[in-house]
Amino acid sequence: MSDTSYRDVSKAEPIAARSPDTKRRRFLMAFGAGAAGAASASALAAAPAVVVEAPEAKPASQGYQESDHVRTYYATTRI
Amino acid sequence: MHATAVALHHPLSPEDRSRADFYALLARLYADAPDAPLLRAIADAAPIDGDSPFARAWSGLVAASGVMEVDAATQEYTDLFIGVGKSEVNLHASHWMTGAMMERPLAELRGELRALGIARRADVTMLEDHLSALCETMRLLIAGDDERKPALVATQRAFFERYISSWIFPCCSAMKGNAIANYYAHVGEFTEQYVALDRDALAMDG
Repeated sequence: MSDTSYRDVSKAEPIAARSPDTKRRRFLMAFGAGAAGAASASALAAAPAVVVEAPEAKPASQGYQESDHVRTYYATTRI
Repeated sequence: MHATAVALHHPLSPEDRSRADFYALLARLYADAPDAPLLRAIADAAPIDGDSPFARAWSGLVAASGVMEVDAATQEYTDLFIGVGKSEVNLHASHWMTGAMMERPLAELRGELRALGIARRADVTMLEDHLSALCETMRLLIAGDDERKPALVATQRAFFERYISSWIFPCCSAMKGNAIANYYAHVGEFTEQYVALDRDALAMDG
């Protein structure tokens, strides 16, 4: 996980020093949310129907772009 | 997406694995009525330890899944969530967040999804603010996939607080209180307890 704590929580550290993520996970575990409860059911459930990765958007070109009306303008500015 | 199952793309703690699974299950139950294999899978699922409202809500859903007829579940889903004109219980966040569909919350949500690199599939009609889609987004944030790592807990929490926990509790109450709801009263109760648990867990980070 990208937010894994690098602390080794198996060492004897004071409770207060444990990372918030450890607290969060222990909290979930205490309520049985770490159990395999949903695993078998979710295996049938997980056909992602709605969300996908958005394709890499091409950056819109910013700034000056030459177009017909721009060329016309410049043509009118020539002395 | 090419994935046909919640394959383990990234190592997750058992707790986050479980969170992803619960969101996947809810996404599926709100997308459509359960079919017979899904009802059987839930009915056969392991119980959750303890006597918390969460554990009891799970056992209620498991028990209901064991006795529910597929045809009855299908009819109930249709009657509750797919009204002609106006459904009994609206599953779109925008409805609950502003009282009308297709107002600012949906536009903001689309912007947020874009920023997260997530989009609706082109071939589905379900809106991004449908509860099923929101649960699927949470699953994706938690578990990641081939193209993304699991999201930071802070990212999950921000999305969850803005687009799920801000409106879902009155929706679940409406589900449970609706005379038509039978199986989905159990789904609503489990949703309420699970979301409350995840809300409290996410609030612990930082």
